Amino acid sequence: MSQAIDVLSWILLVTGGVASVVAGIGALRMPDLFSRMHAASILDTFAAAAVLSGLLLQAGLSIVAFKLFLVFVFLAFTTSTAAHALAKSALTYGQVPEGVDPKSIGATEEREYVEPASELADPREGPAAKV
Amino acid sequence: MFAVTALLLLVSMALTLVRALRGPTMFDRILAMNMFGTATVLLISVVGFLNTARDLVDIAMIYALISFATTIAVLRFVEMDQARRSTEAES
Repeated sequence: MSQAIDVLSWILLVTGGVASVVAGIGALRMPDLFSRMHAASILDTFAAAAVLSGLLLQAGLSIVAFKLFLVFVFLAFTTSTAAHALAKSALTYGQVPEGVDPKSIGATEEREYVEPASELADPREGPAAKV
Repeated sequence: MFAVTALLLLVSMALTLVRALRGPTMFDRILAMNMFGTATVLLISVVGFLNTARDLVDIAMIYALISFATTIAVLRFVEMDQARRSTEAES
């Protein structure tokens, strides 16, 4: 019985690791920001769930198992919130998904995208006094 | 098996770092750092089991919350910066 649990947890752990590599490749090779966010969500949901439940099976019934569950709950809440905030501010400031008409998502005024905070990073632009 | 998972997570973190360095926009970098944080949380848990120091899960928990706060704070900063620029351009 314990061997079956071991094998199951190994399968889950390796699946989670492979899923995280897939998410990394996706984040590297996808064409625009929003499809990269789709790749990132593989890591946030599937890889996290697989790795953490694999560890859960190894931990057995203990306080560590409860903490692992807590980590998963935190990740489930925080990553979706962060993805929402990221997509919202990216849409607000001129990023349009590939193959989408900008007018259809309400981006009526054409905004030129400015790389934010670059003047803070580059001292040659003069002092960043107005922040 | 923990070592294999840790190795795969490290590969994934390296790929995310490449994306963070490449950009091209600030939002891509924020996304990559968010992914990096999630992968770090998983890696900390796995390494804890690897070394039988299972209490490292506590640190993973704290790290998840801090990385979330970081992402939101950076996004807020970017939004404020961009709003300031657009009002400056209008005036």
